[in-house]
Amino acid sequence: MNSPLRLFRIFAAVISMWNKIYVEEAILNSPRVQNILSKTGMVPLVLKTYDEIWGKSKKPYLHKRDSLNLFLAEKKGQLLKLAPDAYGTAGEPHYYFIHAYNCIYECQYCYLQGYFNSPDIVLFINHEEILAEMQKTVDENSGTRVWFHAGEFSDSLALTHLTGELALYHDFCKKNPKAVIELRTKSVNTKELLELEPLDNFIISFSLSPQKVAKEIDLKTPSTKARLKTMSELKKRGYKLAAHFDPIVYQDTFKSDYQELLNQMNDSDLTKELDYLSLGVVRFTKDVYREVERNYPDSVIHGTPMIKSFDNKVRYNHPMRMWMMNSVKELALAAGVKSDAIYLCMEEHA
Amino acid sequence: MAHLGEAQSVIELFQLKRTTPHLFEGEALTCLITGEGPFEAATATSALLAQKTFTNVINLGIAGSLSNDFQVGEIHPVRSIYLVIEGKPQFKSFKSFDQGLDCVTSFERILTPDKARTLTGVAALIDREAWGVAMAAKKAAVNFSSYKLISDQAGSLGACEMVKDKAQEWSQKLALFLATKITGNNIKQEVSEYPGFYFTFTTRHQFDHLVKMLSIREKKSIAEILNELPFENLRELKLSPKDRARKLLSTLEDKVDPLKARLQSELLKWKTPFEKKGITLNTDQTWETPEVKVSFSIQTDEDLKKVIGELNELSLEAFQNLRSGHLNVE
Repeated sequence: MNSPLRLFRIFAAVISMWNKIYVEEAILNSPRVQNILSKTGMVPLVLKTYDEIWGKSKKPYLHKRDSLNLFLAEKKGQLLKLAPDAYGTAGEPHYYFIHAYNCIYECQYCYLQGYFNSPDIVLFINHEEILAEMQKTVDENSGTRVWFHAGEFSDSLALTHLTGELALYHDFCKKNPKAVIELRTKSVNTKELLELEPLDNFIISFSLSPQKVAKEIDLKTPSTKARLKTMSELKKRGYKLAAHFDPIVYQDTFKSDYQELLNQMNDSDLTKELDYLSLGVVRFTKDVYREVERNYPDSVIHGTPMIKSFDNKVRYNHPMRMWMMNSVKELALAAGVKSDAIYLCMEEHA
Repeated sequence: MAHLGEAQSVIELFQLKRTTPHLFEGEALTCLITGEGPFEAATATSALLAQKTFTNVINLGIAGSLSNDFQVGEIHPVRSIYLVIEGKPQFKSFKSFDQGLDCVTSFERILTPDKARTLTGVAALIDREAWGVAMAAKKAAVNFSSYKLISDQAGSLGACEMVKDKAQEWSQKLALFLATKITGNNIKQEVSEYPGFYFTFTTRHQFDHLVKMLSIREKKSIAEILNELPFENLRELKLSPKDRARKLLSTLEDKVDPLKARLQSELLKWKTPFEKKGITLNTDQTWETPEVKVSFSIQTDEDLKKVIGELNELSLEAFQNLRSGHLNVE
């Protein structure tokens, strides 16, 4: 006879977003893994290490639409990575921490489509080890503010209802006022977050595009309107917020589109409150660009010529990207974003 | 040919059918993808020549230049082919034509200027397969010839990237060249649906690409975009079909690139006064580098003083402003 738990598991598996769940043998019985499994209701396949399967063969990116697998694993090797120049505000060390690979969203410009050999999601559950590495880094940089960014290889909030690690990172910030954590997201999944008290060094940053652009290129993500609503709710709760207008994609109406976005932000009093706003014009490594061409041949991204730029990335030409970035910067300043809160991302200069 | 990428346009142009993973066959031409490296090329060619009878073996492909005397994109007949192993030239060489450039086939990729430098005395060109193909053809007593398209400066930074970037263009160029050699005529790809316009393989590809780009940008169908193009106006101009096609491409480029026309006109405004005085200002066509190359010719000290005086009037500010996107574009 079917127990209620078994019935729940069958039901959950049917509606699950996961095709298969793989778990590393060594962590199968850990409470964190068991908790995730109980929420998915699926019976896992057990592996020695996740990379026995994950990334072993080239799985086309868009297969994530119908056969997305989840891997639960421990991150080995480098747990923190020094962020590249112009990653965040200048003059302070920036790192990103790796708690996951790949993302449930499908943004047409996403570099993950050319980064890994598989779109399958890996969730690393050894957060204590990641946090220990972060602590070590803070101690080594005593007296300096050190930034830790989440969301480099995965959206930092989208699966937090499943993974439940936010409280650990929040606690780290509470104990280390010189450390700043930035959670980069497009998600409106703030249930876990809203259970925590706001901290000055625990910043939630939202990637935003004008509504009509987001609709075309940020596939399977919450709408811009929904993201702004969530930002507004977090602001009311006292959370520190930031925004990324990145990537800015050329359309003939891009100035009026960004004006509209800033107006919407102003309607919720968000522009003046931003801790920082980063601006970046769309850019790709060559491999990612090829993937974007293959995966989204009719995307608006392909509506304007690009060139191979100074760092071998594929971008609009220099005058064009400077013009676009400066145009949006002027609009942001006029909308009330503080001048020293704006930084230009991944560009050698303005 | 060594790579499928190089051979793609030959396969298309001669309508060759794939018969094995590395073999494409047609009525008058068979194309073998030998793979990279003299050993691979020799074994693949030998195996094919053992199975079928051929009157000629042509090795067609790209090569790096070991000399500064030739331009990237040029196609040359090969005279002699040498082999180097670990930088050391080997005894056996093969002849292709009486005239042409010498080519050295290398077992390894030449990725640094130092490695390239030591080979500049051996040959003007360097490739990865000609020697192997030549050896197999000679052993089978089949006529052998080789043509090489210069794809890059051997050992230079970014050579591999450049070759990848240009793969399609080089492939088309090689295919048209081969057609010329085989049929004795240039195969002209007149685009019948646009009478009065002449497109080469390359310009046709550009045309299709720009039309697609515009259709994405303006959210219109390809047919709608084509309907809006000024074919009739251009036909009335007294231009050759080739120039007319170029003009059409330029019109399309202006449409897809919102800044191009404005940038070019402003750049010209900055350059022209100096060019009238014999001073040429060369800037990066892609606008990526801030470098400006200034060139002029002088014969006397008087000329020199005059140019120095003119150069005192030169300011880079206008160019830098353009590069920084200060255009007052709405």
